[in-house]
Amino acid sequence: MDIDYVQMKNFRQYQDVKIEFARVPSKNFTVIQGVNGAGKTNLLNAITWCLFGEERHVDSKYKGLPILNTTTIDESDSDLFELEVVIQFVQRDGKKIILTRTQQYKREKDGSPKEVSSPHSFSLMRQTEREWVGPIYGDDAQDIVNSLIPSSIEEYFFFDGERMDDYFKETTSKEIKKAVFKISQLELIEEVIKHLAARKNDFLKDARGLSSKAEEKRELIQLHTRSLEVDKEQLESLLLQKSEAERKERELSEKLRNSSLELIQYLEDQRDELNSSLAIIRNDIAQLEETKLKFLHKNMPVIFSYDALVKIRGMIEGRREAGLIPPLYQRIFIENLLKKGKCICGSDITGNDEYSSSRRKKVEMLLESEEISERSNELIETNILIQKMIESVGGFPEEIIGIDRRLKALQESKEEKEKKLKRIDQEIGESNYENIKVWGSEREKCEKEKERLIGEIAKKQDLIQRRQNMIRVNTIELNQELRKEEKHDSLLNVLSFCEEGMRCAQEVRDTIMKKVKEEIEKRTSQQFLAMIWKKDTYTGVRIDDDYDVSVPHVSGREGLGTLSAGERQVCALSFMAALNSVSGFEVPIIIDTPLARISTEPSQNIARNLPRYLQDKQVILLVTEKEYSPEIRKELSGRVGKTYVINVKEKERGNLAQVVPIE
Amino acid sequence: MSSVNRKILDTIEESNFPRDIKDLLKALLTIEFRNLTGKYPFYAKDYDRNIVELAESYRKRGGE
Repeated sequence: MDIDYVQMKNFRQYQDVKIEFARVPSKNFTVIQGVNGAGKTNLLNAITWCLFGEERHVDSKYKGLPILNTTTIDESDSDLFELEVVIQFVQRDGKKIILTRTQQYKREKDGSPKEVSSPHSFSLMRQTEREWVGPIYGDDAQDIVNSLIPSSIEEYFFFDGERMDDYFKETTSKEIKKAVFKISQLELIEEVIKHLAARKNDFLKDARGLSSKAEEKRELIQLHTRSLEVDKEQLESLLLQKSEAERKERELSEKLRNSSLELIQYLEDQRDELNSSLAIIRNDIAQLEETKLKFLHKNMPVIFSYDALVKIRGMIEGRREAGLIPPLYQRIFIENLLKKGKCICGSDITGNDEYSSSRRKKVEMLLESEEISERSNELIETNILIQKMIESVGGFPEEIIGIDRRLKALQESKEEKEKKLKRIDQEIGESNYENIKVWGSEREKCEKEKERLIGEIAKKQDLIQRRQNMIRVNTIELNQELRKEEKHDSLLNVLSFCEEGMRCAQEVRDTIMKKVKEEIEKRTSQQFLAMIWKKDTYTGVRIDDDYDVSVPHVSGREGLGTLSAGERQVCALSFMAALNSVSGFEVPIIIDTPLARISTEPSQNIARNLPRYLQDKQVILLVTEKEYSPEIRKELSGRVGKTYVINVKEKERGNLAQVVPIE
Repeated sequence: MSSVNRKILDTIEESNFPRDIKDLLKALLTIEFRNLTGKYPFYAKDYDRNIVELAESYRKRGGE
């Protein structure tokens, strides 16, 4: 991607200047020549301001000075000014991108300009196969710019040559590593590893919360199921025993009934009758007990609060009887009286005399008492609710007392009939006939056994029901746990995927770091050896695993510390060019005063070799007249497509710069 | 628009990593690239979406 042109309007000393840059691949160097202070660095600033909204190479002498051209402020009659920088890029496929950044200003009363914010201060237009797209504004436009020239690595494309000789003096191995990381975007992989680890930890926390109890539930269900089978078998056996006892009982009763003794037959008839009555009584008792339970279950909350409810109802009734509720006056009535300036009696209370004042005060007091009465209104409403609750339990406790009374009567009747039965059984047992006595005694045993078995069966049935409930509840819980387990398995899979992702990201980072470092080392070394004028003095440039840079002397000793300023600049330029070539970004290189500190012969050597190592790159050199000597011009002539000179016109406040092409 | 260094993307693509891991790394690098602009500070949801979706696909492929 090349810069086609930069157009500056009212940017520092550039009032209205357009510079077109050389783009023909064989001649893509542009040289812009100017004396110190002419505006070379500000051209670089105009470009970074347009790209990123900030000047990145401000000289200390320009700090604090207005970015807006001062001559425009002085000479214009208007109170509104606009600063604008437009850059047109041409991509490898020939498609263009136009960036426009503007800043509006308004003249203050004291004459100074004040920035005015504008919603569309940054815009981008881009050419596609068929048409121009845009304008795209703000953050969306900035995103596109960042994808073309990441803001964080701008310094490796646009740099100040004068500072180059100090680069390896001031730059630590940590910063060199950082530069390699930035240029190759390894910091992105570092961030991926860091953030993957953070996500993994969060997933791990979630997984811990999902530790499954499914196994525990499964075991419980199995245990209950096995016990249930045993219980059912036991119930079956109990039912068999009961029917056996009943069969024996019936058989013995049959024998007794068929005996030839009239007394026994009479007693058996009595016995049958009593048993029938007892069955009915037992059934009535069961039904009444159930009714009582249902009643208590339904009304328990009100029954428990019954005394309190009755007491509250009494209190409210008491207030009503005392005339405290309902309110004597309605708020609206009193408010209307006060509004009209009337007393309840109809007399006027608007005057300032003693009578009016005292009456008005009394009416106002009524309003205050009415506020209390408002609460009384609420009490009346509450009382209705309480009344309904009390009525809902009806004749409680009368109803319960009635049930208990009926239950007691049934119990007494049951006991009486049981006693009669016992007496009949005793009478049969005391019979003079041995077989009658034995049958009677055996039947009594059978009945007792049957009663015991009925109790056992009821207990067993209850146990079976409880077990079935347990199985049902545990099955529901097991399903919930299984769903958790499923989630847990899925999270474990996510965790292992994160770990694998981190391992692979680390592998990519290490591979690229090694590759990039080796490539930078190789290119820096080649370029340094080609550009350095002291041939056969150094063996190259080395970057070790800790990113310490060394320039070994042929004798074997380390030479970085003893390099001259010019040599250090060559070393830094070689490093920058190497960083640039491995970056993968097709961004032009702009070097401000690249040869200022280097003497003639070494400069020529750099000028001769630099184009070779910046092939395919558009290069813009901002040079002083001294730097761009006839010798340098000659060395670069094969690659320079356009040359300009910045002419400076001094004005009352600041300078005006014109950029003029040199043929 | 992503402009993650070609070298990184090529290294990932040329590696022997499982397909889903390659896709994950490329997707996460794009998110990080966007984060670098400072405009998208909340990356976690984007991360989780990519991780969960690709982890499922990774499981189905049996980690290949």
